[in-house]
Amino acid sequence: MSPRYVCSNPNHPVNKHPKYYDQMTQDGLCPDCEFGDGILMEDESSGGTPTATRDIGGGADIGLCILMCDASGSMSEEAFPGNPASRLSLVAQAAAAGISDLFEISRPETAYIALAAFATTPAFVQDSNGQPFVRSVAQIKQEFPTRRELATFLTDRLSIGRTVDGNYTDISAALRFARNIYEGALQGNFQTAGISGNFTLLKQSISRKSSGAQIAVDNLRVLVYSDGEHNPPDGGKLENPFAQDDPSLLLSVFIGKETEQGANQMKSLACTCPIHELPGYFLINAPERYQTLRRLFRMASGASGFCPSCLSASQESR
Amino acid sequence: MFGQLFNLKNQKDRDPSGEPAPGSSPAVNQPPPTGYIFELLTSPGPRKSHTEYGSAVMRELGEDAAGLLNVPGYSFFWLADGTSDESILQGFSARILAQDAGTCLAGAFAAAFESGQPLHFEGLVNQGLKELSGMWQERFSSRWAALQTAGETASYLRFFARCGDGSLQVSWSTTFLAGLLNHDTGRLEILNLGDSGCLVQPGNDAPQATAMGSDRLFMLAQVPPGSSDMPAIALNPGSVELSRIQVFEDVQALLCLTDGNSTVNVKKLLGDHGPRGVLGLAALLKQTRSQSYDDRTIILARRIGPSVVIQPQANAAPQTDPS
Repeated sequence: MSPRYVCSNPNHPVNKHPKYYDQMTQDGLCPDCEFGDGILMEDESSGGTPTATRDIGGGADIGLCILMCDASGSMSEEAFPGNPASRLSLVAQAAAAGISDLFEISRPETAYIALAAFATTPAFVQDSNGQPFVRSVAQIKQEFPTRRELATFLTDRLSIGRTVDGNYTDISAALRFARNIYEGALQGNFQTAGISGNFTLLKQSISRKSSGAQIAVDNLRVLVYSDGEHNPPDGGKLENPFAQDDPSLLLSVFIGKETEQGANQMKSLACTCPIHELPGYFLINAPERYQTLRRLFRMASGASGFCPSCLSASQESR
Repeated sequence: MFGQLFNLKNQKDRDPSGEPAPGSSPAVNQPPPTGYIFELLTSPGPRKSHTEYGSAVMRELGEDAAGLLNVPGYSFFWLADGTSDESILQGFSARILAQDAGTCLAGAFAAAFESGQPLHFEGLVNQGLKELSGMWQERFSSRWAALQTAGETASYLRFFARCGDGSLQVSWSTTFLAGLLNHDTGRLEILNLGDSGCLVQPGNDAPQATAMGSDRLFMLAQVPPGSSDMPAIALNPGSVELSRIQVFEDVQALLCLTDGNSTVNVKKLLGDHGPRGVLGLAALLKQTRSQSYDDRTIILARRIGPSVVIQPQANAAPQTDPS
């Protein structure tokens, strides 16, 4: 089978990225892009003709954030006393703002976000074609040029009953679902999301506080948030499939009061930051924590950082 | 941004490696001397003008830093890319670390040359790292003394991240690539910490990529739990092992690039366009607009001299003016 080629330009003018060609050009540049905007690379994936978002291409180096969003009924309740915004609205706005903050990172085409909802069961959020929503930041920028458009999409998909049944909150099932995507990503594929092609996870070197040694950590984070406690239909216990990882890459958020049982549960799930040795846990219990939530979405979506101290150290946004 | 070109004394007849000096008294059978043309190309990312952090307004140079030190018979070059997601304290940042790393390592090589010592790559790299660590310790001491005089140490420490044990910590990091080229033999010794890429063309063979590590240079400032003393400053790694250094012989061309250059990673670039040779790859990159918001820096070197013939590469991209 002769190789095919893909244009490197994430903003390809003819088709959405990636755009494929049967032959290499004489000068190595893309024939359809404005001069200099893209060069051709051999596509290492195999199989049928890909569509814009169902094939990640071949051999890409990427980072990945798996966002597990609580879509239970209680998310429609008021987020904070005295403010009419619902918890869902708060999250959708913060996520849209945080993700759009990434539009100008170094390589937005390499930062992927897999979006899933959970309540009674977990499921991928679906895109406009009914496919699992797994997108690079560059693709999100193209599809949702403004924060408002992205927030509107998130609000719709995470509203009660839209993606999953909202009667229960099975956090264990949500984490198992995330773990399945996570394991696929470690193997270099998104088969669970029905996306072909293969990739390699980027790695980031961090300086471990306990030993002072540098360790390479996958550019992969799982962010789970909830506003309630684990309440599965089968009454099963809360289980954390990331608990044995060193370091764990699971960050958790509780939206509500610190004294609630759900807060303790979410805190128990969180990783321990290898840089600062703090829990990767974030409490959103007051309106002034909105900016924390937004910055957290930015940090996690960029598959970097672990804990509140990482968040405070990453305020320089370039 | 062309790094630092050290203004060295004319020591043409001396070979810093301790080997017979090239060109000083050429034997009849010695090959004619060769050299390298270096090009350093750079463009800034578009996000710097509005970046403010605390009291420090960063409108200075970008996070990429590169430079070249030429002495008779040798070129030492470096390329650093300060990471963007780390704290800035006035006078201390990842981009300043990137700049200082090159300054200190080039300084170590320059000092060895000026004192007539051989240019021993591993030893001088480690000497440069030691000087880098010392430079930051000294600078931090000066800063701390000024803060103490002004009674501002406590407010300064508020910029540090708090760790689980109550200690305070700030870190800065940068990628760092450094190489030493012997003009006459074409021998290249190279160290590559981080994700900058380097393609080397030895002889007329196909280009090879140098190994890329996930590690970087970290500078850590730490205050123990309960203390309000001056932070301890440490460089990690403080030295590099010989195993991290790669050697290529008879290098005809090399191309180093920071990750802001392209959406294409080095491995893929090499796999798809390797037959063009390093110069063909460079021509392609020169014609390609960056899709990134990152700083973008390229170092290109090609060998020159009467005995040098770099074979033209099939399908090499034509040199056209993108303007």
